[in-house]
Amino acid sequence: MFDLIPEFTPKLVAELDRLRLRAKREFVGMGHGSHTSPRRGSSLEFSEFRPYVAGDDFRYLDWGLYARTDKFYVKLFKEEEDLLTYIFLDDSASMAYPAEGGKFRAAIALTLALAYVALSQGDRVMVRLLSGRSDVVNRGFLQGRNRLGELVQRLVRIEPSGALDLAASLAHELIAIKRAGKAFVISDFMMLFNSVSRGLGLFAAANMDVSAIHVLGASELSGQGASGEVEVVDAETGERVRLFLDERERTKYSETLLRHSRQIRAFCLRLGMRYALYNTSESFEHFFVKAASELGMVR
Amino acid sequence: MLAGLLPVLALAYMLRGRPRRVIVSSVIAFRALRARQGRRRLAKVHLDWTFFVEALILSLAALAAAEPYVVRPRKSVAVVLDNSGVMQVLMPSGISAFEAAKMRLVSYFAGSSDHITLYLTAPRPHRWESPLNGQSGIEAVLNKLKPVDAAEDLAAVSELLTDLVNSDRYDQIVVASRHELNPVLPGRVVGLTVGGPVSNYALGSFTVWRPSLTSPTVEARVTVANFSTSKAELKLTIDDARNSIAEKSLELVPNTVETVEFPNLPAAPLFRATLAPSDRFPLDNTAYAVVGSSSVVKILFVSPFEEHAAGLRELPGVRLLTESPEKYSPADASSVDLAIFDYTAPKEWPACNSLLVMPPGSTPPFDFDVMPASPIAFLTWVAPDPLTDGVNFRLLKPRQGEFFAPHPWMRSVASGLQGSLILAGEREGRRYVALGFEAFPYLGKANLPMSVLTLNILSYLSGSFSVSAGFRAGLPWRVPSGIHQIILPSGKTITTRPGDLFTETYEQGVYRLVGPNNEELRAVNFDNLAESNLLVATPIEFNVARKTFSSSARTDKRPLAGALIVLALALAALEAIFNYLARRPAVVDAGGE
Repeated sequence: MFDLIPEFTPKLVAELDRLRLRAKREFVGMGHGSHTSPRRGSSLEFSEFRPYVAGDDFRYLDWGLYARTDKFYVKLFKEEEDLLTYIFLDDSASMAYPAEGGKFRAAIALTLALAYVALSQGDRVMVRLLSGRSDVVNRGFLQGRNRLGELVQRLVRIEPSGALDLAASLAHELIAIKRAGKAFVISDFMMLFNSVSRGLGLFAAANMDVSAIHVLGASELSGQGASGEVEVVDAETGERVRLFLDERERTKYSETLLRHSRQIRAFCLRLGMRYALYNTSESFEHFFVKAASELGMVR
Repeated sequence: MLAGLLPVLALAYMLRGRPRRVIVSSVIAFRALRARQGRRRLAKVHLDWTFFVEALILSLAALAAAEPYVVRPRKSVAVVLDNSGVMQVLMPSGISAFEAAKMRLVSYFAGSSDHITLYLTAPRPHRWESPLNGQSGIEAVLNKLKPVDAAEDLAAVSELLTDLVNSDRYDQIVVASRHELNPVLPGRVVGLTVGGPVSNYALGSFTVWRPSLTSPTVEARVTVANFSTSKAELKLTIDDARNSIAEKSLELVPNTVETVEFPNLPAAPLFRATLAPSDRFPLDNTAYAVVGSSSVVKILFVSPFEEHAAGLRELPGVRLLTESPEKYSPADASSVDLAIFDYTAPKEWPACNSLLVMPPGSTPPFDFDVMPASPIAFLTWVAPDPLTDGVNFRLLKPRQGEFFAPHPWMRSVASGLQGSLILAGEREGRRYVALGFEAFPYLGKANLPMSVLTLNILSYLSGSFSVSAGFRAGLPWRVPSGIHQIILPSGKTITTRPGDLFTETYEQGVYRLVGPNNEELRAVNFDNLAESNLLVATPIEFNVARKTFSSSARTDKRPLAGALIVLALALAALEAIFNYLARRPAVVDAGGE
């Protein structure tokens, strides 16, 4: 199944098996699961006391409290439900560049790794392409690890293309989301910070537990192979910029990109979102294990 | 100039490779980078090699527009190069003295930028057509020069040198010759002397003549000299340019000149004398000679009385053509050795030597002033003279005739009481004789004095009698009438006109003089025993009129604009070529997975 994704080594799969997703707050799920829900239920975890009213099951009366207060109280317990996990994958043309480093393949690997972890613990997973192409990925939750194979087959067929307006795209997706949950946005965020902040801000406002995973290509930080007198062409808009790049200018370029990354990170932290930067020159396994806690996963 | 250079620079710029196009995930960061670059001063200036090259090109063009020049002091030098025949003498190294002189001159002017005026000494001292600049200038001209076969006129060279030395036109005079200079004027006059004493055997004059009009043989006389320090056994050979016809051996003591006679040589149009053994100056070991007329004399007889020519037909070796005065045309005279006008005269100069018998008076071009008389008697005659030789005038008693009044250019050979009876003269290279009495019909032994006179006249006019010493190389001569083309011994053909002074006589050998209906040969020889004596080289003497010479500070302004423009264009071309070769494809990295 994972033959198509070289990053999925047996060692990584073993690591993924040990990981569990944890939301920052309780979300209402769609079925029984392992995450506490705001609903009162029948779990072993105590929630609160409530004055007894006629008709309550007197098996839940707290006799100790009656002895101290001479009043009847019943104990309430939390419900445990599954966590609705949304993974939004940027499949715009920019994800195909730079060619070396396999930026988009890394993004797919991240999507599958997160889906694997979620499905392994019985959560429901919905994978959405930010380009809005519904012919590749169906709208609807996947449940059960056996659906991973299907997901892999669909994702590896995707060819990044088109332009992306992150704010508009995320807003469109948010409208279709009925219940809040944990959301992962995997993108290179090669857009104006304003667009990023508006898009992610919408999810934060919708009480989603948002994690932004910033994927950058191996050579993206060092000028994408451009040097000397060059004309750089935007893969999405076709915009052309002619400039001269030498070592010093390439350093400036790298600093600009890192500043953009820090800006997104700061924004995320300010709004209680999670953020992780993955440079594809780094080992995928190493990154995922290291960033697991940052992305809200526990062992 | 700058505006003119701009299209070249634009072309070089346009030939540059388009900037590499790279597709990137986003240009956001690049846009920010460019904005930052744009805010920087001189942000567009990328200091790569192209910038420096184009800056250099524009600087050069701007510099050229200012028309800069380099000021260099320059001397004005006169070079006198001996190109006479003796410079053909071979040096011990095997090269000629002329080549050695040229090499010394080139060496002398190595690296020089002097303004050089070249003078050549032979056949007459003359200046080279244009001034020369420095070593390259003189080397280019010297490579084209060869020595002539003519002797040097030492007096004329001395005169030239005196003129040059006393002139302020030149800062220095350089003389390249076999001769030393006298006086020695260090700094002002530089003598580049080549060669030294050389033993030489030489031929002097070489003459061939026909002893009489009717003689089938010719005689030759050759002058031979031994200019060496030892006795020499020499062999003199005469040939007719094909076969050897005579030879003589002679023994000459040092520094002597001897004349060698060759009687009874078979007649031929051309003779060559060769002296053996050969030496280091081969030019004077050969000499050429031609005989004025062949053994058969062609005579045109123009007369109203055709019977007057009857007796001439009896003369051996004479081919007679008769013509009436009415039918005579000047072209008829161009194909014969001589013409006889009997009781008539041509209306224009005949193209051959001519005898006029009883010519009518006051008719151009001869314009004789005649006075008929009867009887006539000879009182005086010129002797010795080829015309009067052997004639007994006392027995010559024509019955009637006419006296000539003194003629502007014909001399009186014999005269009577009232004037001349025989006139002779040369005009336009032709000989003319006028008789004031009847010489025809020719009666042979029946009238012996008249017959002798007639034969003398025919010999004189046919040229067979005269002993011609030939012509010396370098001496000009008049082009004879009827000649329109002269072919030099080297084969070079020169078109000319009769009466012109022909000066291109600097080659030794046989010249062919060609006309529409006739052709004659003329031998030209080095023939100068004074020059052939190579044991001594007489110093060239010149007079120095003053002791100080003002050396005007001449400078040479060499403009640099041309060189700068050429350099700028070359740089632009190099840049264009380099850009063309280094041109890259428009899109290198299309990227994408």
